[in-house]
Amino acid sequence: MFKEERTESQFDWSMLGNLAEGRPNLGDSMNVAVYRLMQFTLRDVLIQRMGVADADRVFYEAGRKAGEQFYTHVLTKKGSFPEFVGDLQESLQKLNIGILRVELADLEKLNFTLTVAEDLDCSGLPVCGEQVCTYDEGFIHGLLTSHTGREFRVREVDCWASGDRVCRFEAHAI
Amino acid sequence: MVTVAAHYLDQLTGTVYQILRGEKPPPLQLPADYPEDEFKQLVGYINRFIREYDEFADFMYSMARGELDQPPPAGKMRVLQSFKSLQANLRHLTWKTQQIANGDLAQRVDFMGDFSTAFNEMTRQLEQAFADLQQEKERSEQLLRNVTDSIRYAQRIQSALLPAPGALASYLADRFCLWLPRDIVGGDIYCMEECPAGALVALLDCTGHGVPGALMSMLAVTGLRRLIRDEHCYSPALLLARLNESIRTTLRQDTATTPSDDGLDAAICLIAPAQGRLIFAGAHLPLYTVANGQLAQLRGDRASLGYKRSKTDFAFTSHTIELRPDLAFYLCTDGLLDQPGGPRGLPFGHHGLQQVLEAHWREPFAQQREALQDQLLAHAGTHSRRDDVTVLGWTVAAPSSQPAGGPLTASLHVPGVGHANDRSV
Repeated sequence: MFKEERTESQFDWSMLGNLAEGRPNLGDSMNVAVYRLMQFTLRDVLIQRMGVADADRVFYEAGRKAGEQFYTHVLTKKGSFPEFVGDLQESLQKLNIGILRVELADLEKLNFTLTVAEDLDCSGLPVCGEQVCTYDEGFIHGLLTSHTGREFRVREVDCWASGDRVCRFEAHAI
Repeated sequence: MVTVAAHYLDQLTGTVYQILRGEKPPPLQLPADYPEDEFKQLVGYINRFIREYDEFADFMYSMARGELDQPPPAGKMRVLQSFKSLQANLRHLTWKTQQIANGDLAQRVDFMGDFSTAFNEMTRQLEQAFADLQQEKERSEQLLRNVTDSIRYAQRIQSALLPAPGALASYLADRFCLWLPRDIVGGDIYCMEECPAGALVALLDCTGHGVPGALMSMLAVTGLRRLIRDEHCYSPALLLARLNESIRTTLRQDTATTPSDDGLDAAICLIAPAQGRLIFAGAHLPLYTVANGQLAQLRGDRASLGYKRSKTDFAFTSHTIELRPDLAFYLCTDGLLDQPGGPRGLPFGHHGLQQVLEAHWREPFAQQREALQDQLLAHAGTHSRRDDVTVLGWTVAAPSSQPAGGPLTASLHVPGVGHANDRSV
């Protein structure tokens, strides 16, 4: 399940396991620093092995898969766009992932500008002139594709690590 | 060591001074051949600062004017990042407000300090107000349904007071009855009664519409029937006079203490085919006749029945009309003539009635009824109905069709018929 060789995705939501059963004392929450420790060490090794571009692709695809699964298994309001956004905002907040806000939503052309404040991946990082939330780009892609049935191009245009105070993502349907 | 000419330092000082004073300084200029040293590098950065500062100031000014679509400058200054964040939040709030305007009152704003609190309280109150309004609307709709159901039931009762469809079949060769209460029930009612003197046709237009009008109509028609059946009064003029008295006393409108002042207008016809005549008396309501396609009007007396001001000793005029085979008779309440409509909102009027009756006089009465109703609706258009409408039309059957032992010969005196105010037409 977790270590088989594969050429196609074998991820399933059930792989997250039963947290109540597995962690009856420590519960299902964890420090953000530990999450970042895992992500950035993983990023470090991936870049060494395959280069920045490929490492980014890995994170984007993983984020997209996570977004699709999140839409299916966590979100419950999938009717209109405002309902979907409301549900997503609430879920991201409850799970301490970030504070999602909508700056622009053109439902005709399917162009969106979304911001995430206190982003799990990057808020508080040292300012280094880089936009690092590649996983979040994929995550948003997965969510929007699941909701609209259309493919998207999602790009982070502002990031804490590049000096902004919120992460801003632009998404365009293709 | 870098040596800088004093005037360059002055320029630099002047630039910083201008920025602090709120002015827009031009970029610092160095000669093209100035050496690539630390001072030239500093000037480059100062000029970049001036440019980005200007762009930031312009951006802030547009945002202050509410222009939230202005793209932010590309710089990385901390103050610019904070204002980009502010712009993002304002745009998000705009989007939230648009959702509320579209009816989604569940929208909330988080992590924006006092604004969040105020905004969320406002939406909560809006949501509550809408919920209260919706509840009130549902309650009102239920109330309206109950009242309407009650009125529809009352319509059954009022309809039961109308003559049966075949009433006076032996007296009337052809007829129509167009009865259109404005509010399901109404103040118009008509009556058809056989009597030893012939057949009586009465049209009553009582005060008001809806339920109050219906109550008055019931009072009036039962009063009239009692006069005919129990007191054997068959003279149209006498019936009007006695109905006047009956209504006034029943409603205590012959005293000063009663709160009501209601009454009616009426028209009564006694059809006596054996005598070859029709006798008409009217309290404000006229009788119309059509012969050879020409409409004529016989006005009623200018006196209403039943009101406090109605004179108890008023003598109504009896009009006698000789019956002819080509003569058609019509009674109508003022609801038809007063109905506003057309491009200028003018009443249907006598002219409207004349047009319809003269155009359709040869047709069967069922078709005349349809034509009248269609013309009324077409005239009214988008204007709402102003009053109850009732129109009766008939032609008189030849005497041989009356029941045996029915109407009397012309020589037999019938009590209550024949009056000092008799007029022949």
